[in-house]
Amino acid sequence: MIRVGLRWIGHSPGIGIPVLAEWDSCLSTILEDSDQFGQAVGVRLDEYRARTLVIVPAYNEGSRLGTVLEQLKRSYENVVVVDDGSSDETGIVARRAGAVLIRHLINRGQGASLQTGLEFGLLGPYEYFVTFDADGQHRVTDIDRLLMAAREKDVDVVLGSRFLERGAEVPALRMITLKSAVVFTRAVSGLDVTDAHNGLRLLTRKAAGSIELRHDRMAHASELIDQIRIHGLSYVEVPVRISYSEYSRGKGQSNLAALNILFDYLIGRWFR
Amino acid sequence: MTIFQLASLLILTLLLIVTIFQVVKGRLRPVSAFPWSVLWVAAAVGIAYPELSAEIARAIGIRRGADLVLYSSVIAAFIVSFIFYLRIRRVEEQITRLVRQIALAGPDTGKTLPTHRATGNDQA
Repeated sequence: MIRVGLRWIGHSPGIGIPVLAEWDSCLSTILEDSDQFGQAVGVRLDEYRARTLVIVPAYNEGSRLGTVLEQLKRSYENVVVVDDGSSDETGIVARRAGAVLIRHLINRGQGASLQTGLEFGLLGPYEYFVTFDADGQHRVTDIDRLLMAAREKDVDVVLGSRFLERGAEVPALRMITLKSAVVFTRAVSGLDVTDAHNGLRLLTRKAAGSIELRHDRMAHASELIDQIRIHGLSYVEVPVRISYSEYSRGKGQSNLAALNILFDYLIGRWFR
Repeated sequence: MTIFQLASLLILTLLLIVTIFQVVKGRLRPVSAFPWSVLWVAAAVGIAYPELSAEIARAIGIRRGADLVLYSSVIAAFIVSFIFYLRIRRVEEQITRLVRQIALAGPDTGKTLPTHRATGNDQA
């Protein structure tokens, strides 16, 4: 396979050479399937994938996790499941799917699970760390987008955003809460993010090494943004799609719980 | 002196003695014992001289001595709750670190999955 680098060359389906800012929309409109994408452009996507560790925090996800891992494993070999004190078959499912299993004896929260996953990953040879939800809300092809953005734009952190694409289907009340979270996060952390609480992110080794998540529960998302600013890490946002199934809708953060997260987060900032 | 006053003063004196005893025994640090001792003494004084709280209350613009005691107690309770909240957060953090240590000591740590191929060519 001839390496043609990361720029589109003339032979790809009628595109020509896009401006950097249009890169993301090209990715989304041309090809859904990443293998096809990789072949068409001759980019060594599989090489980058081999150096990536996908971290999946899971708490009582049961058999759903199996489906998610199965899809993940088709493209990404390095998957670690952080079992956050589950009482069901989550751990067994993870093992059976061939993922590495790290188990918290007691439930500590998603933030704690991510930090554990990162610390595990830093022990290994991986260059990219991707956080991925266990409930099927995320698409595996979006990980490819994050990876390519990291390579192309040479940033330390890539954040997925569900609001960058037209026609994102977000339930109304949830939209209000999320947008408020964004406004708040922007005001407090001074970073220009469009989606404050997206579980799909990529961290380079440098970023993973600098960041330390001390908020165990859901306030870790805002804490992560903070740390990006504090450590002066470069970042970029990439449009991703979140699927709100019946199941995940019921399970997601209640809008009232968001207030609790807010309180927790503020206390953490002022009293640590 | 009323029975209430007598009984309270007795109990408070006892508490003060116990507090000092704990410090002597090394079980309680002087820094921690101090605020509690102040509390016992203040309560004793307030009960022994009820007119005192009335005077202070009027001086700062509150109607009754009892109101003063009530307001102060409520504020103190809030402060103490907040201190405990912070302390619990710290304990939670410590628990998480413990759980993480145990988790990373598990059988799968250090396992590098097979497909990492070091290409030796990191220019891509």
